[in-house]
Amino acid sequence: MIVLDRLTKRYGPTVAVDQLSLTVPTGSICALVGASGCGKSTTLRLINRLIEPDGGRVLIEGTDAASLPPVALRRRIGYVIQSIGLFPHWSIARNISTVPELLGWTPARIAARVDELLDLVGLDPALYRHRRPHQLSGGQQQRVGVARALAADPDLLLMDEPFGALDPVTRDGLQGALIDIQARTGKTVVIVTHDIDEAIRLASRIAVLDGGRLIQQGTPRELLAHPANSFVEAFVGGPRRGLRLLQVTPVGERTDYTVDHGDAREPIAADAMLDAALAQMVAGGIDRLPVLDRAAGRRGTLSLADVVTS
Amino acid sequence: MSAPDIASDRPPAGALARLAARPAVWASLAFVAALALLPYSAPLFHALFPELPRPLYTRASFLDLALSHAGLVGLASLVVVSLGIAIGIFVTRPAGRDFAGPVDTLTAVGQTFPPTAVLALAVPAIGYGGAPTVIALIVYGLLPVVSATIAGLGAVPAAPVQAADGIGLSPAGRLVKVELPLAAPVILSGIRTSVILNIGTATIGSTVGALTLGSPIIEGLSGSNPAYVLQGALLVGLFAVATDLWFDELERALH
Ligand SMILES: Nc1ncnc2c1ncn2[C@@H]1O[C@H](COP(=O)(O)OP(=O)(O)OP(=O)(O)O)[C@@H](O)[C@H]1O
Ligand SMILES: [Mg+2]
Repeated sequence: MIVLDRLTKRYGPTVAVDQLSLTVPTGSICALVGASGCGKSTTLRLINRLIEPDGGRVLIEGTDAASLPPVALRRRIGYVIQSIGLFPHWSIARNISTVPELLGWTPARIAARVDELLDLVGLDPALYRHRRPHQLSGGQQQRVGVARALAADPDLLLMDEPFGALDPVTRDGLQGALIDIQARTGKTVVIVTHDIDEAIRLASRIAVLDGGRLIQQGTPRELLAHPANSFVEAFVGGPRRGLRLLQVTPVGERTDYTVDHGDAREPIAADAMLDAALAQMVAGGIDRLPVLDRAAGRRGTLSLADVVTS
Repeated sequence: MSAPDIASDRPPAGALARLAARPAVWASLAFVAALALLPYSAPLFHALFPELPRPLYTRASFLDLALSHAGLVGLASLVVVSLGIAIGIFVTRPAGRDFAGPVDTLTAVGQTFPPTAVLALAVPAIGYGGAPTVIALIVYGLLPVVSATIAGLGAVPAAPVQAADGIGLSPAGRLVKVELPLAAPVILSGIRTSVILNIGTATIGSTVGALTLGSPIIEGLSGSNPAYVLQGALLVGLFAVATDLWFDELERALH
C-alpha cells in the first residue's frame, strides 16, 4: 500500500504538488491524470525519493519512505520514466537486466528473465537482445523501458506515461499484459497517463490533479457518473462522457433475467461492458441480445432501451 | 565476389592492406625510421649545412633522448589523467560543487603560467633534471583534462542519469556505469590535447638538465647550430603526430 499524506513540493514560486493525500491499496492500479504540468511526474518522483518533499510524507507498506535508504527503496520499486532514459551505451539485454544484476541474480536467471520480458512487450528476443537503444524506434524503446521496470518483479510499480509512444494495437496489447501481470502478481501500480480511456481500462481508481492539487479521486465509474466539477467533466470526456460510461457499466446490471431470449445467437457475458453489447447490436442491426451470467448460472435479455436507461 | 571475400581468401594481404590504411601505423614507422637512420645521416647534414664542423648531434643517442622524453611525458600524463579526472569528478558531485569555480580558475592559471617559469621555480626546490620537468608538465597539462572531464560529465544526457537514479543505481554506480562511459569520448579528447601539448612542452625540460628530444634543440639554439635544431624538431614533430594519430584511432574505436 502506498499512502501519500499531505504531500507538498515547491519549486520556487511554483507549487508542483500541493497538500496531496492519496491512498493506493496493495494490489490495485491508481491512475494519475491531469493537464500537462499539474504535478504527476513530480508525485512519482516523491514516492521513490528522487526528490524530497517540502511537506507531508509518503508511507510505503506502512513505513515512512523518508526513513528508508533511497537506493534500496528504488530497487524495490519498478520505475518507467517519462523520457524513457535507456542507457545508450548498453545492449537492450543489459538495459533490462540492470536491476537484477544489482540484486545479484545468476546470469542464467537474468538471461531467461530478459527473454521472457522481451516476449512480454512484443519484441523478438533473438532480434532485439543484442541491439543498442539507438537501433530501436521510439515505441520499441518505450517497451524496453517498461521491461526494465518489470525486470526484478517489483511489488510496486511507478509508470510515467509508459505507453504514450505506442500505436493503438501495441498499446492495447501492453495494457492487456499489464492487467494480466497485475492480476497474477498483485502489484501495486501508480500510472500516469494523458489517455482517459487507458485510465478507465487499467485503473481501479483514478486521481485527477490540477495545479498540484487533488481535484477528485474515485473509481472510473464514479468519476464518469459524478464528475466533481466542470474540469473533471471535461477531462473524462465532456460530450462523450456518456459513451465512456458504457465502458464501465457491466451488462449484467441492465439485464432482464426474467426473460430468456432463447435465441440461437451466442450470448454476451454478463460481466462484459455495455459498450461491447451496444457494438454487437449496432453491428448485427438488432435491439436485443441474449445474456449469459455464467457465475450465477442464469440467462437473460438485454434490450437497447436497457442500455440507454438505468 | 565481394570485397570482404577477397580479404578472407588472402588473409595476409588483407591484414597488410588494413594496416596500410592506418595513418597511425605510418606515422609510427616514420618516427622509428627517423630514430634508426639519423645516427647514419652525418653525410646528409654535412651537405645541408656545409659551414658547420659537426652537423650531427652526438652528445646522447637519439634513442635515449626519445625514451627519456616519452618517459617524462608518460609519467606526467599518468598523474595528469588520474588527478584531472578525479578533480573533474569531484567538482561535479554535490559535495564538491562549491569548488567548481576555484578549481576552474586554478587550472586556468596553471595553463597561463609559462612552463619555463614553473621550471625556474621548481629547480631551487627540488634540483635539476627530470623531476622539475614532470612537475611543469603536470601543472601545464591539467587544464585540458579537468575541463574536458567537467564538460563531458555535464553533457551526459539527463534521461539516462535520471533513469539510473530512479531504478536504484547508487551514486557511485551511476558515475562508473553510466556517466563516465557516456562522457568518455569528451574526456579522451581532453587527454589527447594534454598529452600532445606536453610532448611539445617537455622539450624545454632540457634547459634544466632533463634528457629530452629538446636537448638538440636547446643546444642548437645556444650554439648556433641549426642542424641540431632541425634534428630535434623533426623527432619531436614525428613523435607528436604519431601519438595524435593513435589517439585518433582510440577515439574512433570508442564511438
Ligand atoms: N526540477 C524542477 N525545477 C523547477 N520546476 C519544476 C521542476 N520539475 C517540475 N517543475 C515544475 O513543476 C510542475 C509540475 O511538473 P511535472 O513534471 O510534475 O508535471 P506533469 O504533470 O508530469 O506534466 P506532463 O504531463 O507535461 O509530464 C511544472 O509546473 C513544472 O514546471
Ligand atoms: Mg510528467
